[in-house]
Amino acid sequence: MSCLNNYMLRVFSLVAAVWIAPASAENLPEPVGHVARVEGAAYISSRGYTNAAKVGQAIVPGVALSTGAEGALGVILGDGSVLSFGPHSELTLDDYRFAPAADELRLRATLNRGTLNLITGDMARLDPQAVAVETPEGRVGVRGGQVLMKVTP
Amino acid sequence: MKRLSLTKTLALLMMAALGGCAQHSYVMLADDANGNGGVMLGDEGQRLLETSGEGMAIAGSGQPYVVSDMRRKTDFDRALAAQPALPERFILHPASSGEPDSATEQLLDGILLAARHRNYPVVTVIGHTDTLGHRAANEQVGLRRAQAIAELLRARGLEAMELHVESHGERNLLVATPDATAEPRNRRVEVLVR
Repeated sequence: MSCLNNYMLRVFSLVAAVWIAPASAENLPEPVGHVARVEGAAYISSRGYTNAAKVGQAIVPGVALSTGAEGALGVILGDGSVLSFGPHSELTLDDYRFAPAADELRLRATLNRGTLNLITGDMARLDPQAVAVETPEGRVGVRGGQVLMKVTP
Repeated sequence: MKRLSLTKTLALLMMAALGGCAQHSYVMLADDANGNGGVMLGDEGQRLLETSGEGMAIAGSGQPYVVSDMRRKTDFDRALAAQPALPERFILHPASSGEPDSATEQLLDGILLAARHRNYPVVTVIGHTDTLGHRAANEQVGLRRAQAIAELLRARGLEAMELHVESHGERNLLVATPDATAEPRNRRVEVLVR
């Protein structure tokens, strides 16, 4: 309990710091989402390191999400977008910025293989051009709603 | 010998035909969100998918087709089963006095409950304004609105893994209006529990 409060205090300070000094905050990648569901083999790769995904784990732009043969993974991003993956899937979150006050709205990802269930959030509602998923066979622009994608190697 | 090779060839052809049908990469629109959803394919986004239940090959120039329930189930059952609990959204209209009215109190209780139902709740409190006044000033007004609600939530013992307090100023309207328009419905605080 006190640990949690401590954590909240830190988060508050962090958020305050971001508002006061946006320049210095740019060095630390801020979490833009988190892992909300994990089944079987599911992994997060960031800066060359790959670890088993855990519920609650933070997601930053640049991470690669992947699942194994029996794996599945669900994540929620800051604007309320929901992504979930079936087995043998791999997606890189290339760019994510949800800052309507600064007119910056971008969700760019690459689905290299597997299956993706995407439910768009505020990002697509505010800008129908903001969400796009690249695949080896072409780009998929998502204007909104719920979209299912399958990429076969 | 000859017969065997013919059978083999036929089998291979059939496999190729079935495989070709089942193997292509495609996208389908599962829910068009009352006409607001959709998918754009092609370099210029010229191939459109706008009807729920329809799909389209990602490559090439094919047209939309209806995706059978069986195909959808085979391909996406596992991905859909991994879908996490959807984010819950609360819209508060704080009174100008700053004292929470009964409607606000009820929503605050709802937010606390929603956070308790999740194992690792992440709560985002976002302040919004209408388009009256300057954009930069509105961003500050929105932030103060959000901070006031976050303070109320903390005072009521909100436990969250992360609590973000932000402002979208006048750039995220609930009701579309031109600039310099007073619209009470746009003066609000949205709380997203996920």
